[in-house]
Amino acid sequence: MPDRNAEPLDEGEIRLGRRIRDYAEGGVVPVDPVAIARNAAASSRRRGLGVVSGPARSGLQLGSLAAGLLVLIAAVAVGLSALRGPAGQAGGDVSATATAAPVGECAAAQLGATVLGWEGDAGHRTGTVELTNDGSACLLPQQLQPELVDASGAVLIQGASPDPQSPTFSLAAGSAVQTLVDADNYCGPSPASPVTVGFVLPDGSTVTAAAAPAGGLSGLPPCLGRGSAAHVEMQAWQPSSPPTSQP
Amino acid sequence: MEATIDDLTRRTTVSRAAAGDELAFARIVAAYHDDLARVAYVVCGDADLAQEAALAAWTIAWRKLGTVRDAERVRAWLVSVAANEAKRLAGSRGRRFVREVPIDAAFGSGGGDGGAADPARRVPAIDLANALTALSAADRTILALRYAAGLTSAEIGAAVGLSAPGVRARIARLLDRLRTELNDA
Repeated sequence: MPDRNAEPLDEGEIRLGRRIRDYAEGGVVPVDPVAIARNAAASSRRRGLGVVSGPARSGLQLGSLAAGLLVLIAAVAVGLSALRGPAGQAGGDVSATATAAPVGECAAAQLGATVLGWEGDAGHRTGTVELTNDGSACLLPQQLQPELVDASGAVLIQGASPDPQSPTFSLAAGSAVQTLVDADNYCGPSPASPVTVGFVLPDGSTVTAAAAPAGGLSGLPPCLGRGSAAHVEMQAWQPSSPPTSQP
Repeated sequence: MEATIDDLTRRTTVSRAAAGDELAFARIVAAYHDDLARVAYVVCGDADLAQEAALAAWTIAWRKLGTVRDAERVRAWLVSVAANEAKRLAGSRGRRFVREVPIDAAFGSGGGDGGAADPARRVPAIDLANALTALSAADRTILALRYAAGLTSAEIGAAVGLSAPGVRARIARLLDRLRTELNDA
């Protein structure tokens, strides 16, 4: 449809326009339209379930963060109150005591992680990962940099670094939290099985999760297209659910 | 990727895709994905990020295709979504990554014309990439929609919130600036 406003002004515009058009070809790579369609549909389904990324996840994160912090603060407060013994402070002083207690960042050595299992659909793999604190109470960011790693420790897909300003929560001694890690589009060489998940802590050390029990779905996401980037991302940590509750 | 949406009875395909038909949606992807990638590449200057933006645009399209009333405008809508995603991704990554122009990717690495192997064609492409980098993301979006996607001024205006004459004037100004940067009288 002709548009007078879109007509070139002069030969110079035609030449420059052609040059931009040629330059734009740098963004074109072969893709698999069917895989893209499936992926778009699957992403939307997951978003609808509140399982993966995007605005839905942001809301979920905020909610879970608030709930998790309340639970953790309460747990720490109760624990500290109990340590004070029969002559302990009144309840009104508990929060002040809790905030005054110095808590350091979690170290990789005190954390243990396990992939509880993988689920998958349409090119994605979503792993449920549990993280336990085997040491004393420590601070953990809600978001870490996730990695998909193989049995030899090779990083297959590296996730984005979290915002340094990502909220931090206190992980009580002996407590556990869970997250969902979503990975897609691995097109590299065959990795050593089984595939698992790692988390890079703020100090640069990595916590690698024990692989999921054998016999279940592998955590290796299928290749959707070599021209597209692979992804791995995690949800915010949430308090581990009781065995009978909804995961 | 040779399919054209004209061959596929656009209206029916779009309607079926909007209703959740993955195969119909895949036909739309086949027809327009390269356009989305071209536009995103001009906006963000990075081939990987451009693909990421295009894929993100398809996810949005899956959810919102039904909101596009006129099937004739689907392509313009899609490339506009891709441009916005490219702008968003480039902005969010900008704090962590320096925007770079890889020599091999600076000209036609995915275009299949062999331009990347021709040093005589690389340099102008790198010059153009640098000149584009000096523009704002909003200005690159307008140029991308005009020259990489071939949208009319009215379509661009609808996408970026300007009148058609306003788009035309902005493009003229941007071209003047590019000519100066590129010594292209």
